[in-house]
Amino acid sequence: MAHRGRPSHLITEPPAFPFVPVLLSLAMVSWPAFGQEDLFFGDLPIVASISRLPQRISDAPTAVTVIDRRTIRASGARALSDIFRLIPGFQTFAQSDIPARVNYHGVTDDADFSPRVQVLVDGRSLHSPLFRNGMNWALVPVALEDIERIEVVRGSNTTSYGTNAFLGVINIITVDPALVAGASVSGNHGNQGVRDYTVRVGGQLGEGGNIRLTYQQLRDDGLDEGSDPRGAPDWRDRNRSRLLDLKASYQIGLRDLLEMHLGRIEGLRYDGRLVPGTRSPRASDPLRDLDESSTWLQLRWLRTLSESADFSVRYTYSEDKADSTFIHPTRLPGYNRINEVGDRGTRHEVEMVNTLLPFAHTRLVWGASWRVDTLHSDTMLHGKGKIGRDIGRIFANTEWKPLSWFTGNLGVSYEYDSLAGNHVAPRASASFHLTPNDTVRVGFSRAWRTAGTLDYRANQLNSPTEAEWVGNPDLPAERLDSWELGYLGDWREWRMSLDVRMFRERLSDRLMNRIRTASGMPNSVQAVQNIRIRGFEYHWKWQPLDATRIAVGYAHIGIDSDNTAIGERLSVTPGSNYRSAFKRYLALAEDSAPERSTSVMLMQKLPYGIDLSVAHYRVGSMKWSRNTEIEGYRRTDLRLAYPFVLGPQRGEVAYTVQSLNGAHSDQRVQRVVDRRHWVSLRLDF
Amino acid sequence: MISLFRRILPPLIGCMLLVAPVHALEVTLVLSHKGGAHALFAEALEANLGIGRHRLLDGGNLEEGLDEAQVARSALILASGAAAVEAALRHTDRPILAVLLSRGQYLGLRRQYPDSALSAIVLDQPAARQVALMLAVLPEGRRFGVLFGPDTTVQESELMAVAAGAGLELIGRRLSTAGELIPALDRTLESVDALLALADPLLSSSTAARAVLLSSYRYRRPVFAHSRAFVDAGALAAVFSTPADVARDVAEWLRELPDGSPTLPVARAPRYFDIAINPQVARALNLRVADAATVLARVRKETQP
Repeated sequence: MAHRGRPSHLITEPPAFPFVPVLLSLAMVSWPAFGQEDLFFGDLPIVASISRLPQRISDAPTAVTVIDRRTIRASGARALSDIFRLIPGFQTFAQSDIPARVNYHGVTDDADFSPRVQVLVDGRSLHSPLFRNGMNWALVPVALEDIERIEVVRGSNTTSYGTNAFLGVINIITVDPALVAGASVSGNHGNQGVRDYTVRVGGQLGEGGNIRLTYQQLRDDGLDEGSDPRGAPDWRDRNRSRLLDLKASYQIGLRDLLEMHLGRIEGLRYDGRLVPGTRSPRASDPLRDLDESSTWLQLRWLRTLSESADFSVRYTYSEDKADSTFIHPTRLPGYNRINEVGDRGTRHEVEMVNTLLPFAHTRLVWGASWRVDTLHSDTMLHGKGKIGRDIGRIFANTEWKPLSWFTGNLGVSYEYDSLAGNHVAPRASASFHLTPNDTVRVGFSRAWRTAGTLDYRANQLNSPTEAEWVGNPDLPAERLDSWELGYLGDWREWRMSLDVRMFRERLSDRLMNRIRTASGMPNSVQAVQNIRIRGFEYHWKWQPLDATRIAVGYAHIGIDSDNTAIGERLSVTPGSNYRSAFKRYLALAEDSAPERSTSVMLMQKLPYGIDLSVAHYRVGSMKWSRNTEIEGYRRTDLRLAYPFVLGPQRGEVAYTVQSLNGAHSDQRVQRVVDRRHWVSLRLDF
Repeated sequence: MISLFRRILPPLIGCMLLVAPVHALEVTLVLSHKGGAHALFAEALEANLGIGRHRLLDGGNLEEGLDEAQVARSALILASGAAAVEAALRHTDRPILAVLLSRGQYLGLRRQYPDSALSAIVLDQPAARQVALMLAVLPEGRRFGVLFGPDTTVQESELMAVAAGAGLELIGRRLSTAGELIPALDRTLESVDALLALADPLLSSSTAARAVLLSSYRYRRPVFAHSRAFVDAGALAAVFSTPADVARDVAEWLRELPDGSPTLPVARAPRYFDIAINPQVARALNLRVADAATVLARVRKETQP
């Protein structure tokens, strides 16, 4: 892009460049505007800087599924986690008193926060030191309406997204403020206490600036404990959340874009238990409120250096809090104030990324970041105060396309972690474009997952002499070596695409929560298993008619495991729960993903502009925790939407039903997911 | 004797100059701005004309002041930019050829000064050229979207007719306020192969261009535009005439212009044009696009009279 010799500040100086308010008034009187020839010769700010342009999926080093706004709407999802039912290889469940999780290829434990799938919103990781280095899916800091698209990386990509982009990555890109104009008010009203309200506004912020603001409150009464098949439920659930989300962007001159993103989400749920079949709280873990919140600020500066290079700097601050404090009736003062979910985790991160095309057929993305995490928990870090953790990272990824039929990808990252040590993660893949429409990809990657701060440093004491859970400072990081063979068909003339992925993933040193290493010893996290995951999955999309879209996803996953040296020793150590419950730990590893899962989605435009969408899911039996399991289930969701225009008023009225086919369990048999349906109304101003 | 010479010679020379002029016509050039596209046009025109039959005079620019006397006595005015055209219209009733302005601007001035001798070489490209570009870049494209603002609705019928003639479906939407832009983009981009962004203040200002391009990436649809800057910003391709293209056209017209009272051409687009393609955008949208020289040759061939 040749510099045209005009100083970039000209754009802010009227009348050198026409701006909408001026132009609007001129246009209205249809008067020939002075400077209108700038429409032909004036400069425009660069929108297509190299890192903002979409990358071709057939050049990507891993399998990527993109979910666009239309699919999000059509899915009938009310919670972000539900959307991933559509993606082959993913598992999730309906939230109850247990916060939802989203896993790829299984591997879960009793109380984790899906730490093996990285989740990012506009580059900001939602993994938190407070949530065991995972994501709290009960506290999603983005409204579905504000999501532009979700890029789901099926496979690990540590070199691009950092450690803990381990089995998969969910990369959420939110709507650019420049594409939100006016105000929109919407509400959902349905059974099971569904009462949701959303207000979104957007507009211009001076010249070159745009802003959008969303307030959303979601509320439901959760699942019906009365349908607990045991007949004497010891749990209750309900969900409340309030979200405020502001994103602003400001274009300075032609080449600089500043973005600010800040917001807060607050959630209220239940924690604890009842005495079964009564309304009395269990003394040692009473039913009580669980307050959670997450607050964040992100600033990003993107500079377009040339048509083939840009540079960005991002600073992110986030603070997560959780509180479900109660006083334990039998413990000593100083040890009786319990807040296992708390108290506070913070994260500061600075990242710089340079994207460039250094040579004709090469694209290079390299950068570095520094992160400071802190965790404070009176209960879980008894007497330890605030624990800090520093993480530095450098990374480089190249895409090399020397021939029309070949794309090579090579990436490497090096990470320093003050708690977890240093790790190098390499990745390589080769894509062969057999025809412009058919691509075969072979790839290998090594990824690492480092444990949460508590896993290294926990100090949960029941009394001065009895520890409930202690950290394991010698924990290794989980290592994942994965091979994949992919096929990508993009048959535009048939309006059809097929994405197939065959995978062999070997997860070494799988970390298991709450392992008692011997009789009388406290719980700790231990690397007990090596896991092998094999299988294949496909995602097929077809638009046979303008008004009809079909998508089918299928995954076949086989998991087996063996003990690590530590696991082997613990499996024969008397008093170790890894020995006493060995079969259940084995099953938890090997049944953590269904052998077969299918999703089918139909989106159909009907007369009068009515949108119909039906999603059907079949999920095989699996385990989400050591002591529970679920049978296979089927679930059908349906949505009917009618966008209307009444004079100047635009809007949409919709009816959504989840689990149309009736009750089933998708996390444990005691949590019955029954039909939930609601009516939505949206008015745009 | 000497004093006689002194008295007679100057008027004599003056008379000789009057009866035997070096240049057939005095053409005065006035510019809206002293720099930018207008200066480029002036430079290119001078270079193209060389020492021609007609005499090109500098009538000034609106920033530094117009040479009003020069404008008033000149046989023909070349006015670069709508502002210069309007100033010239106020100062003379001699023929004015307007350049470097949009068709909308030209028509506005026409309405304002219905009796003036005014014509123009406008910057808006003919529909045939735009359609030829879209087909040369995206041969498989069958359905194109286009938005019309208040200044570009005049192009609607011609564009529709040319597109239909080329076997294309053109889905047009009319906008009257900026607030309609984003919903209109959403509705249009959903069902088309590409979008044509016309030069309309409502559609291609800095803010609007950003919305147009971001929306186009949202739907993975390319944008065809009307300026190199739009392509640099993120459109796939554009056909446009540079100030040099317009200058070349004007110079050729001037060279052919007979002596005596000048006759203005019919208002039209420049004969010469260029195209730009953004290869990064093509790559990102997974489009196999021929190189710019090939596309330009194809468009030229398709649009030859």
